[in-house]
Amino acid sequence: MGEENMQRRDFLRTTLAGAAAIALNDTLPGMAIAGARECFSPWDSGTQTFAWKKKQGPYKIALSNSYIGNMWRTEMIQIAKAYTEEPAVKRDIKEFMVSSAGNDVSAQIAQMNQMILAGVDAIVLDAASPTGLNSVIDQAVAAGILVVSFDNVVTTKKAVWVNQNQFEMGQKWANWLVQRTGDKGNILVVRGVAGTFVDQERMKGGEAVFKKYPGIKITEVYGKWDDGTAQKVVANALASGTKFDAVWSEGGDTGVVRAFQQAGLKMPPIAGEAENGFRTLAAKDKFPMLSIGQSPALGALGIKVAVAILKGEKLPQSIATPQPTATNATLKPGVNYFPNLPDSFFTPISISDCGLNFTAEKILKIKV
Amino acid sequence: MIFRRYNTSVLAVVALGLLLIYYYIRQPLILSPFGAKILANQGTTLALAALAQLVVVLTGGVDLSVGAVVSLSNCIAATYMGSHPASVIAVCVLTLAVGAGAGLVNGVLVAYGRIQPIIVTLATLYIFSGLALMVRPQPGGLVPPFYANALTGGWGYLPYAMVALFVMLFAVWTPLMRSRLGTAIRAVGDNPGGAHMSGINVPRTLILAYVMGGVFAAAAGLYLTAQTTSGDAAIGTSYTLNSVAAVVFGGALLGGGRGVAPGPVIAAYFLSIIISVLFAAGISPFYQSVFQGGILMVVLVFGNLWTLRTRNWLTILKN
Repeated sequence: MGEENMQRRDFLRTTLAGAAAIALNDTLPGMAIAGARECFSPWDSGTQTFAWKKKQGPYKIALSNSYIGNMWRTEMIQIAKAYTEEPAVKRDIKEFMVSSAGNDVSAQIAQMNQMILAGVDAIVLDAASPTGLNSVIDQAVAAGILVVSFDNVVTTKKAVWVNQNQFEMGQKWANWLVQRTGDKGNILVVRGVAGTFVDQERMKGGEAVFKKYPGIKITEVYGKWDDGTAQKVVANALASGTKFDAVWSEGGDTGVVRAFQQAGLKMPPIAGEAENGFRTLAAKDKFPMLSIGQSPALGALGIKVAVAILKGEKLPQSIATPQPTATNATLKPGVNYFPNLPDSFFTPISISDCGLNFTAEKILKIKV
Repeated sequence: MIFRRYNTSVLAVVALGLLLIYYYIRQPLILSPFGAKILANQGTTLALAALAQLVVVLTGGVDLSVGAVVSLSNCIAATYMGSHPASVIAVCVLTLAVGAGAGLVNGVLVAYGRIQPIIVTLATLYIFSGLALMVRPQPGGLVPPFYANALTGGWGYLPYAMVALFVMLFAVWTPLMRSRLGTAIRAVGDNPGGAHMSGINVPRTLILAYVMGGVFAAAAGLYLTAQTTSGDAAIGTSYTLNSVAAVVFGGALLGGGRGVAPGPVIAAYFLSIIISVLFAAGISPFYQSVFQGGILMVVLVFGNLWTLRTRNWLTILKN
């Protein structure tokens, strides 16, 4: 089927894009770059094709979620449910169940054991720990259950990964900022939750860029991906009197903007996640903004991948999905930001390259 | 006599029994060797953490650092364990020693620093989590399969988790609590002044209780390591408050002095298994935690219904 070739070609494009995309990003609308990629791109050149035995449908699929206390996870579950209700998808799914264990590894192990007992065909997983579930995944695989992990992915190669490249995300933010500040200046780095995979990868990506420019100085604070916390720590950093020329932020960006507003400072260029408040404020106040966010449709994409593999399609073991991007030039109300929805709403609800298109009205109607 | 001694645990036993019956109706497969194994594995970490909390609660304190010690020992064990049986044993001993050391710090600060336990352990919670993050900045590590299997495997219907728990309970906990130390701990928790006047060395008793708590928390971490076969500095957070919940649910008094082991251990299983039952019952994930809290509250209220029947509030206050 020429699948191998397609993957290699795509890989080349992705890596080359790694160097060039950032420059392109400014001139081209972000979605154009994302649109150039196929849906199931392998993570890197070392990615193997995932071997799994074909199974007759329709399938019983379980979504094992960990934390449920933020908007992203709520939307993720709503979108996953909306996806399984689509007529074309519903045909392949006999039963779909969702469970959230909280950020508690043993509770999630218990929950997955329960799914093994229930005899599901696939478990789609947003993990509480990248390593802590490996042994229960072994058990699931031994019982003939396909495991697809997304967002907070797991380290074992027995599960399929579906995720956005967090390293690349950090890199893109940093490159864009460095261009804005002219290769020098004070950059405020607002990190996420210490010790998590996502925080480390994004920061590594950012550092890979920053360390190339001796004129760049960074100050790190931890905003925990939360508007309130981010606003507090940024306000503290501003109170120290340092002038920041740009902000690199992993999340809680609405809070970051508010902290600058409250201090009465001129808004520097901010590269950050994809919260609705952040984009809405950027549209209103016109400060330079780059927004690349983790899509809450990743859960639905995980289901799509699971069904494809169960049907016998050969897919890469690690799948890198497109990075939903917006800049000041591409902001469009009702499409990639929503002035009448809460600040905490995560805007990239669709992954068009993968045929996942949802509207805010539709997913908000879904009961969790 | 025996019933009187353990009657504070009755509520937890009845609640767990009802929960398991309902679970069996929803998912008959739990009555299989695999089902027995997962049920046992599910609650053992929290059961050990609850014992760690119980010994501190008996002294009239509360230990907020339980979860952090669980994380720290999980990180140490998964990082340094290696694959040779000798190194596994050495690292287990080291981990328990680190737990004892953590308890010692708490104990000394409480006993000689004269600081409220809740503040001391809140401060050490941050210190121990920081140490865990230093040992293991990123989740990972390796655990040999035989170690994981020895604690989480099973022989027919007998899960090894039960064996491990019973060893901790009957070879460590019971002898210690029946010794002079155990009596001293209860006495200090009930009435520190009275205990001092009766010749009990209060600071020493407090320190030993916290050390014992640290060792049990480290044992919980070791069990969790076998269950997850890896280390993660953020893994233990949920055990702090859940261990307090298990202790109260298991019939111990937060004021100190009263409480026996079976209650909190059984309550720990109840609290751990409930999430699977909610899943089996098909409750929406968004409401699962509401149900979890609601069921806990209903059970506790039900357990205290007898207070409505008494003629005199003094009987209730004395209890």
